[in-house]
Amino acid sequence: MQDITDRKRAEEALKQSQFYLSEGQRLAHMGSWASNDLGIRWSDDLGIYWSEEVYKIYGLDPQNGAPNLKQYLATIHPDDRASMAETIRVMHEQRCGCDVTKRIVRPDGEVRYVRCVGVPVFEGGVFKAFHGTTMDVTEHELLTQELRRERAYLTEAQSLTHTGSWACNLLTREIFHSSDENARLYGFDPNQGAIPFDRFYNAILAEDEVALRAKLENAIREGADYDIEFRIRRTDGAIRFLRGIGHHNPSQEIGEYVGITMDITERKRAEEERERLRQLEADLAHINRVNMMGELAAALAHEIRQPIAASITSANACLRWLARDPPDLERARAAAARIEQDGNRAADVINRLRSFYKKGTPPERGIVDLSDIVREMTALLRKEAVRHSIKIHSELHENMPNVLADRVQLQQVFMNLMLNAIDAMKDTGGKLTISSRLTPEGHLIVSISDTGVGLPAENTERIFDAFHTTKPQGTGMGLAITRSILEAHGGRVWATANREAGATFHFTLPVKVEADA
Amino acid sequence: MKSAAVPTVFIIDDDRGMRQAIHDLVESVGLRAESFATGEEFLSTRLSGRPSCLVLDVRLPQMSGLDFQRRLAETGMQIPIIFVTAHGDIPMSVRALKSGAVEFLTKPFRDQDLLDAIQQALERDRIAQEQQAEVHDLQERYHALTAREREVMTLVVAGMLNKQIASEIGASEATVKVHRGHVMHKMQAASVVDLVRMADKLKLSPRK
Repeated sequence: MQDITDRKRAEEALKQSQFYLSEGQRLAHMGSWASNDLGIRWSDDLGIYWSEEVYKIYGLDPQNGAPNLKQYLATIHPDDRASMAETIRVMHEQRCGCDVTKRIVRPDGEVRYVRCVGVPVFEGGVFKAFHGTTMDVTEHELLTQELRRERAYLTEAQSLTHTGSWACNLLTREIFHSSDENARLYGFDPNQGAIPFDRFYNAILAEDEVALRAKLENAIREGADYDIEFRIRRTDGAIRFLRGIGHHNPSQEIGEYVGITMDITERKRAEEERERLRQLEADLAHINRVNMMGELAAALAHEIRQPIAASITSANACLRWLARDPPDLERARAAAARIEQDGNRAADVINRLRSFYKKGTPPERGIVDLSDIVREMTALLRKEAVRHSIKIHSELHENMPNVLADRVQLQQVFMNLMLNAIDAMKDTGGKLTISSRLTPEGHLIVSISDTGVGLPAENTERIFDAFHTTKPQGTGMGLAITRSILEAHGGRVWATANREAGATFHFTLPVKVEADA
Repeated sequence: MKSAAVPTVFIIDDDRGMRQAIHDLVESVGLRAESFATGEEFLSTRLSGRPSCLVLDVRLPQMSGLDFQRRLAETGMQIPIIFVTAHGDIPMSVRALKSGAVEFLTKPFRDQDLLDAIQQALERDRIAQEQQAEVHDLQERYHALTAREREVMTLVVAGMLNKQIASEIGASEATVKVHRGHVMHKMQAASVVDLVRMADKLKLSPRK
């Protein structure tokens, strides 16, 4: 009784474990097989055992028993059949194992990928049998193929855009991922195996490395993303511009970044070319302006020369009338009167120049917000300022009242004074400050201050005169025009030397009264 | 001859002050002055026989001084020109002088320079006028000759003897002698050499 119970129990346990095994095989789509030997003739019985799951994988009925070699090979996809037959032959002859993945065709026509692993079993050096597993790896294989395809597209895209992808820890200098293109950007051969972090890092030009390191350290410390540009020397010696964008995921370890590196050399070169053209354009514009001023100066010189020549000739005539015997006083007086006229005429030409804006074009007055103009001019001159390492800074009065003025002329005033300030700091760099304040009398005072070379020691007032210039390429017209415009607007302009360095130009403008509106 | 008359200096300058000043300077040395604001105004005046010259501003409003110089030459108005300019350059002055200008002065100029140039120009004009007057005189005498006398004069000037002339025009030697006497008398020639000089001035081409 006791024996039966134990045996029953053992049988139950065995059944249970067989159930677990077959259930496990079913779930894993994995069957097992064993063979005393593998046949070498097509009709040979393989002497094979298949677990239930193997039959399921092949879509065969276990009732029909295990297939012979010919039947077995018939289940293999025609494209893989020959190589499978060869594998079996080699196993049989050399008593070696196998690990192959091949396609099979089920009786219903469905194609499946099957991985077959077999090992020979020896007992005391004598071959006993082959044991193995059979796995349905269709899903896995399709996924792998899909991944491989995606990877190929990605690689193609990276190579087309000269963009490499990577993932690494910048602190520990561990690289988790580096795409082929990433290696190629530096001139490395991606087929040479993993490239250590330092080989990438050491390619960076020494003059860029310091700034780059500071930025990276800063990003790491703050756990922030970064976007940097730097130059490298490629293994072939070529200097390339790279842009690196790194993203730090806060859930990752400190210093861990994923990102891309792009080769932006072509873009940089194009930018440089564009900048060169822009510079050329600016130079040309300046030359044009100088030429125009030169012509204006020549025209004015002619206008002034005429009355002066006339008065000299009249003076000569006057002297000759006086030298006569007896002197012809009447004619001498007439000549002297003409000298006076011509002298006044010359003075008028100069006055006309100063009032060029008063009489020339009637100003179109409107309500102008000076902070608008300051903003516009700052934007316009920003590039020029940056080029000479000059910072433009504005400290405008918060509630700056509007003025009644000709907008274009005021733009010219700001342009002239700001360009002067930039010119004064061209070689040194510095700071350009525009500030404004209201006097108790209700006048608006705007000051444009630089930290440049400062004012000439003598004749400070003369800098506003026409044709007076301290600059080698100056026309001497900028400040004269500025003064004309401001005086025409009822304002005033003057200059003061700064206590530390540079000069400040101030101007006043009457504030628009409400009644004017 | 009208050479004893006071010479006239014509002034063309669009700048009124300059025009008046030169006008006055010219008068202060006892010359006559006439001034114009434009070249057109000047062209509409008739030159008197007295010696004259022109003080011309190079940059006239309607026509440049150099163009005006050419225009004068085209109309056959012969008058020495002194250029004055407020902005002359070397190529401009070279062109002016090559076209026969007496002087090229840049404003402001020394009064003596202008007056010297004026004197020089007037002298040049006086000589030219004298030559012109002489030619004019000779032409009048020449026109007083009969066709036969002119023919004889041409042959005499060509160096032919009376006998040769007689056979040339198919007349007797005595007749030729009479014609020749008339020619010498009417032309007021003292000798054959004198007559040859006159023919030269009249630009008579000797007959072959």
